[in-house]
Amino acid sequence: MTVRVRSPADAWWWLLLVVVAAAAAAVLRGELDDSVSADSAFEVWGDMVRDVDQCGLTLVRVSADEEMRLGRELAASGGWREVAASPWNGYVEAVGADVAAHVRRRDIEYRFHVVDSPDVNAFALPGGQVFVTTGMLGFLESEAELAFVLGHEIAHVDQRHAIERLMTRLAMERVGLGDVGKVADLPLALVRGGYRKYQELEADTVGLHLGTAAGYEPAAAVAPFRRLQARRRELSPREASNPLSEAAGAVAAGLGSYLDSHPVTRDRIERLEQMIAHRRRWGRGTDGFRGVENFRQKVSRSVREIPDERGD
Amino acid sequence: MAELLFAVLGLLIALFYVITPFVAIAAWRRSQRLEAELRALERRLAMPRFDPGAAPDSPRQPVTAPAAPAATRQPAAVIARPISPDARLDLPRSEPPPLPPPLPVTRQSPDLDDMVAEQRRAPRAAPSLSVPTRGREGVVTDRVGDALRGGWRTLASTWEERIGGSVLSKAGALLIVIGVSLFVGWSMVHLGPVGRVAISLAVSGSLLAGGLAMQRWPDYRSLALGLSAAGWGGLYVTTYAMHGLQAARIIDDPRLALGLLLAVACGMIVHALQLRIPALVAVAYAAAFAAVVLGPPSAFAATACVVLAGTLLAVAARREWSTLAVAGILCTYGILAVRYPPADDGPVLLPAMSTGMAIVWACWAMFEAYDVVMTARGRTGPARAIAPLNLCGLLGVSLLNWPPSLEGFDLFLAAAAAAYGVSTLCRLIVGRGRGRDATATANDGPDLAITIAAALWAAALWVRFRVGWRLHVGLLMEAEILFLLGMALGRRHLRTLAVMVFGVLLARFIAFDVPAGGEATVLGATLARWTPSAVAAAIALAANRMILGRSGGPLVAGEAAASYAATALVALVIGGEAWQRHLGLGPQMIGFAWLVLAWLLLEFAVRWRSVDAYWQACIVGCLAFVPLVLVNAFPSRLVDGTAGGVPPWAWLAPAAAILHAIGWRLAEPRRFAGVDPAEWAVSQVCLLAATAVSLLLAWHALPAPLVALGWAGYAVAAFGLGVALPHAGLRWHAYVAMALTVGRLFLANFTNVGMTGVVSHRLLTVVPVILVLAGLAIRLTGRRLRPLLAGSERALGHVFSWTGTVVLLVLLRFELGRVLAVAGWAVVGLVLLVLGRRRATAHLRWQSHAIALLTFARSWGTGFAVPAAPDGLMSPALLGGFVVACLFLSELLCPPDARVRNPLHGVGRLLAWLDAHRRTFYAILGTALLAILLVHEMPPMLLTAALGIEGAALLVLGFVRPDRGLRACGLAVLGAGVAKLFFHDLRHLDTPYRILSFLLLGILLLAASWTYTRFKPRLRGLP
Repeated sequence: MTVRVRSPADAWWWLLLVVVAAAAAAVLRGELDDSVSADSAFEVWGDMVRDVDQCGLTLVRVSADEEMRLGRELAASGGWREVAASPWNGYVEAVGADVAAHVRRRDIEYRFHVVDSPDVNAFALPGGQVFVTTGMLGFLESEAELAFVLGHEIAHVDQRHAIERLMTRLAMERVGLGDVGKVADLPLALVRGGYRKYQELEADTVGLHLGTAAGYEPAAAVAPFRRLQARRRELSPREASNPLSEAAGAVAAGLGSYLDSHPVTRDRIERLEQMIAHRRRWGRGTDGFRGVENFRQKVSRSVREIPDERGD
Repeated sequence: MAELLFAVLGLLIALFYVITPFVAIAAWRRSQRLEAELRALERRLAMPRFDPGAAPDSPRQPVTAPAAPAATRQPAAVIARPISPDARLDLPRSEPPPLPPPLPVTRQSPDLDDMVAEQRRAPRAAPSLSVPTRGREGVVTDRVGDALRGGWRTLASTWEERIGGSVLSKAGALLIVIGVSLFVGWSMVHLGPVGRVAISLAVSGSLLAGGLAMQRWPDYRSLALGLSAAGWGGLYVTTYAMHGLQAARIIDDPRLALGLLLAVACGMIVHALQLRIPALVAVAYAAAFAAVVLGPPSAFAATACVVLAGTLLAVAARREWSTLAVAGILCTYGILAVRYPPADDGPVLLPAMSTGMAIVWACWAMFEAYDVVMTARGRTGPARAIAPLNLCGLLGVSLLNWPPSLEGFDLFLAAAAAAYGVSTLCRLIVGRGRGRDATATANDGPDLAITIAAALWAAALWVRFRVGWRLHVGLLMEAEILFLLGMALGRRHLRTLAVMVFGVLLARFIAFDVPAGGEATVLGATLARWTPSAVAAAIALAANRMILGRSGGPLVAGEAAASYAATALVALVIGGEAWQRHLGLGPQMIGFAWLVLAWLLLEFAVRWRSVDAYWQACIVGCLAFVPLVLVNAFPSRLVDGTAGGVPPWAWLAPAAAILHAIGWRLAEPRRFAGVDPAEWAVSQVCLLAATAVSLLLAWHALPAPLVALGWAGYAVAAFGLGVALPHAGLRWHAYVAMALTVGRLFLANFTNVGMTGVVSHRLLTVVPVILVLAGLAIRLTGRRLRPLLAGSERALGHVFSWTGTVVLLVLLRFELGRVLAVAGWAVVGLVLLVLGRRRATAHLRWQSHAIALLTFARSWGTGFAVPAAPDGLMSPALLGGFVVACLFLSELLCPPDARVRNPLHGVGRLLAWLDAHRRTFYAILGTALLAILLVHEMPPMLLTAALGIEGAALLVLGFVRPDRGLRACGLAVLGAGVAKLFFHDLRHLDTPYRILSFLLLGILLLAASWTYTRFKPRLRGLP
């Protein structure tokens, strides 16, 4: 068998092998991530769907004043039992204000509510209405954790996630096709329905950014999720033994994840850790405030920063 | 006293039985004689008579018979013929026709003459069979009536002859037999043994004597035969009963009884030979066999059966009544099956004959001897069934009566095999030199016997050893002996038998020994129990095939498969030993070991031009893929392929190397050309398998992020070799590998978060793949390889080009994020546009247009709002400005719009249209995106002014370039600003901003109007 190089110009082709080998060697020298999933494909597809969705939504954009008005109406009609005359009110308001100082939509005025409920929950309504349950406050362990929870909910407002869920209906109301009375029933539906997966992940990202920008320790954004994961006992995927089972498992997991309205806690933790590592690689978020003692005393950092609460 | 009385009574009855037939016979004989005379007389009377008084031309009506049965018409016509007009004209008129000579009428029947005369004299009263008479015609009608009556009589006499001569005799014999049987039954109660025997002897003797006496007269031959048959049958039964039946036993000495029985049998034979009538002999033998069946099972009965069969065969051989022999063999073995002598039977003739087996063997020997004789004579018809029936009888009777444990049955089978071996020799000796048809001799003679002998020997071995190497060795030796004998003697049938025994051996291996498992130690090594035997069989088969190949003669059926069987055995041994983890092997090595075997076979085929070896290599190679896939590539929990810390997939590496070697070996046309056209296809399959195994190996061996790189590297190598050799198959392997690589990127690379330093593994792994895709696209669409590539491959170049772009876009999306990705996309689009223009590649420009659309849509949807972007670092204004700049730069790089040259269909048509109008296309996208950016980023109160400035700037740019598209976009933005001014700003803006907006926009519109008016003539020539 005679191998003939057809022309000198063909020789460069074999350089690609060198490039591939060099890239593989470089990868082997780094920190490997062996995870396999079809999330990327579903994410690309989700991007396309979202692009179409967003292009439509921009045509029925709601102004900030209108959104805040709607938020106030929804908060008033929700029937949540707010905690009155509690030190949590002022504390949450103060921490939330710190975090909301770094939002993109400056024309939104945020209002923070503490709801008397044993559920570990926090949610946001359009127009800057943010709610935290007493159950959630009992679940958190530091002011930084509270700041990231509030940042997550603020991000839903800042990224228009909250108002986007109402925009179609509002647009129909404008042309006389909607039923105004139904808007009053929306608050509970909004809270129970939750956001889309990409919206949750985006809120995680923006919430981390807001909390970090406010000076809080980024690692505190992950801690509540870890405790939630331990409580729910989420299992890790089994390692595949051959390419077919790997591909099938990845597609099945990806499809399940895509169809699931809420992201898996494990994925959220991984993403947050990636972002934190990325930030630290660029020298950001290395000296954040944890505020465990502040949280215990319900005194915000803006009022009094207790020492020895910074750094890892 | 009573016994005496009964004996006398019995004698009387017997006499009655004897005399009655004689009386009946005498009466019947007389009636026969009278009938014969009557027929003669009627013939005589039926002769035509001369009538001189008849006018010559007097009309005569032809006499026809009235409606009568068809059987009666013929005689009437015959009688009427002489008086027809034609017959009359032929005769001389002056002379009367001569009278036929009168028939001799014996005077012994005067009464008959008187009867006839009386009949003639008697007046006829309206004869029913005659036509109405008229004058002289009455003579004719009278004769016609006589003729008709004679016909009736003839017909009646024929039936009477049949009934009286044949049916009655048979019925009489049957009645006698029944009567004798009834009498015997009655005598069982009332007579002693002597009386019974005496009566039976008297009856049988009388019948026989009567038969013998009447045998002399030919007219009573049938009756004589019936009487003789009954007599012989009765005599045989009586003789048998004298010892065989307790109720009639008067002879205690079995020797004497058998002697008498033999004597009777001899008499039967002699008589039957004299008579030469098979039916009579068959009846007699049936009666005799029935007597044996009716008696109790004993050695004596069996011996009598043997004697009976012997005499029957003698008669059949003498007279060549093969059907009788077949019936005899059926009766004999049937009786032996149901009346097998018990082992503890009483007095027997000979101690050696006391066991049933001796009797069975005697029968077999007789029938075999008969078959040998008949074969030598050239048997035909039913005689051909003798040998198979004899074998079935021997085996069937033996098996039916053998103890359930089958102890010693192997010896019986061996003895049977030996006996058939002797039979074979006898047949060879007898058939030699007779000059018969060779084919017939082979089919009917020794071949069948040696076939049976071989089968019986194999069965004996099987029963004897059941399991273990002795059975294998025995069968192997038998097969080898048959083969060598066949080669030495030139008998193809022996070789066929050898093939069959080898087949049994192989079936035994596969069906019993391999599933049974078990281990044996051979030379200190632990092996499967059947391995040594299988190896020996494989060697023998291979050696036989070599001997056959050197002899050069034609092969018998199955011999061509000898080498295949040898290879199968070797593969079986390898697989079995590896499966049981012997000799340091393991299940994970089965596929590899089989692959090595296939390789060796292929080398053998190449060197010695052996087509058989070639196909064996193919088969074994395909077989090897099963464990390679199930054990090595896709390991499951069912098979633990890990051994010594080496994972099972590690064996994929040498397997891939061997597959490559085989593929290249077969692909070399100079070394192995012309054996079979399918070799090229096999080579392709091997190379495809090699590629598959290599890719699987990469998947197993490399970490998840590097699998795509491994596959891409394989694609590079395969494509490079495919171009250099050149080899289209390899190039297609590269294409498939790249397709898998791209799919793999979506599973393990785009979302990979590994890092090396500050560079993500996503970049490190995806960028080389993009380079490979780009390289493939360049080479496949370039001019250099155009003579080498098919059209489909060149089309694939564009596919890879698009794929590379998509992968790059996805990489940018995951590397930069959903929003920020538009910056990268815009740059990619710009670069592709430049490349597409320089290389004159439409697909690159189309990709640029598609990317521009994608960038626009994503930017519109996100509003350039980067989540969590560091403040000031990546503001929407900066990002949007960059993207818009890229779009306008693209617009600037585009030539003026042109007409579509080659209209396409579908998406291609849209892209071609966009390519023809790309300058306007990019202008519109840039303008719209800039407007969206202004909407998002400008304060509401300044938005109208910003839009006015944008429109004005576009107008200026459109005049400067000059570009009608830009100018149109500028006018559109100005129009949008005016619309916003009236529909929004008038209501929502504060007064100062409203005034500012009006003023600024008004000035800009005026300026634009002035410009259009001032340069109106020049505008007409601008593009």
